[in-house]
Amino acid sequence: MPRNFTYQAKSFLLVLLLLLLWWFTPSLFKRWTGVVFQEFQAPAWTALSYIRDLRSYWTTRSHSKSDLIEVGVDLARLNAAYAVRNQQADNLETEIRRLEEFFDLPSFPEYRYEVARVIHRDLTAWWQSLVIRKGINYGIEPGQAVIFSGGVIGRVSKVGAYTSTVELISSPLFRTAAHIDGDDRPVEFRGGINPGLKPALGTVSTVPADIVTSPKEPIRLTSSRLGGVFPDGLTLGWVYVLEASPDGLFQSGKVKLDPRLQSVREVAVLIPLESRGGIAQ
Amino acid sequence: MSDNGRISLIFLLNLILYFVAGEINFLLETWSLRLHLDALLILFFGLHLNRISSLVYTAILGFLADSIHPAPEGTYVAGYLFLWLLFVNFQRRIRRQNRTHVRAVAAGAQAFWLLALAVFLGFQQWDQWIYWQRILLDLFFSAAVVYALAWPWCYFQKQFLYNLGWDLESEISRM
Repeated sequence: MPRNFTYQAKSFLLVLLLLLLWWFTPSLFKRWTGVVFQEFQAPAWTALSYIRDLRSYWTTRSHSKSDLIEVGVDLARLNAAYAVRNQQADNLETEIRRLEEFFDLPSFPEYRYEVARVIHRDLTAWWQSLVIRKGINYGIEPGQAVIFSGGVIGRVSKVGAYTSTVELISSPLFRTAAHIDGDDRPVEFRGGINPGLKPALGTVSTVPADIVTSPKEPIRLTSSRLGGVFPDGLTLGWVYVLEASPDGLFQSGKVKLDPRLQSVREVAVLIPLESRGGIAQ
Repeated sequence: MSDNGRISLIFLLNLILYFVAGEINFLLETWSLRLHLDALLILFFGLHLNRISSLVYTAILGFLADSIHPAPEGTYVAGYLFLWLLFVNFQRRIRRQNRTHVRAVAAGAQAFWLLALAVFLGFQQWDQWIYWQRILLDLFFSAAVVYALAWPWCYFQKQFLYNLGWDLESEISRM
């Protein structure tokens, strides 16, 4: 192991040379390198997620039969309730189509739900993202909406061959149009700065001055189709306090996001289908 | 086995640590806490191994981290190379057989790297107390874990090389 005086100086020059080389490398090559290294490690993250699934399978196997029977009964009840809701949804869908045809309205965009497992989380103060186990192979594209049982979770930011990266709504880089529940006027939602050991936060701004909220009766913030990414009405979070801006025209406040955002294991990507009008043509 | 073969095995060990850190973070991030082990990945390369191979492997680890994080291109590559350079410089300034020296250098480098990222990536949030609360929480937690693991991890890698027929301890003692 050399330890002479120039060893450190030579190392410094070598690093400097490498950094200069990187600086002058065309950005296309840099992007290609990024994709290569991402695809290189994707199978390892996927394998780790399968090991996690296997671990959870064996944990579930350790439950007693009576526990499983109890869960089965609960699921049967839920299935019955959802079957009724499905029928109601079908009826409403038929009614919407009839009204669209009657009034010659443009149809709402329709989506296919692609359910995917979360294989990696990257939740820092600078960005908040997830990697899911489906990519181009399932028709996923950048910009598509991603939801979970608690509402909106984010949008696809990067797509690989077998994995995709989802930028969460809690990320400081995230921004979208939204609505206060029951109000048609658009407001602006942004991801927030996330505190440690506490649930993630977001911020809402350009809220009309007549909207009132209180800690006892918080208002629900929902997604808006104005941005062209999300359908209407999906929960983004809850607003407990609003503060008036200096000019008094608008209000802004913090949005409490679903705490499950940080522990979610399964999400659904909304892949837009061709509109009904398009299919008919 | 050649020296390069042995160093490649050490790289594989560090690659496993890289994925294990990701898996630990998968669990920790449920509580909005993140463990950064960047210094631990490069420590042995910088303090003990020869220049070219360790530099190449450090750059590869930097590329891997760069591709998965949405930071500006090259942030992690440059940062990891800087950390490697820091450790190379500490070869002459610390006693590498002294566990406290190794631990302190690793934890200090980890804290310095996180602070550099905090300043570089979050310049729009510098005036927000919540931002610094999160950064400091991650920083102290990561530095403490790196301090605890630095010596055992280096010792394990040295023993691993010794079992493959490369006695690093005697090489260091002869200097």
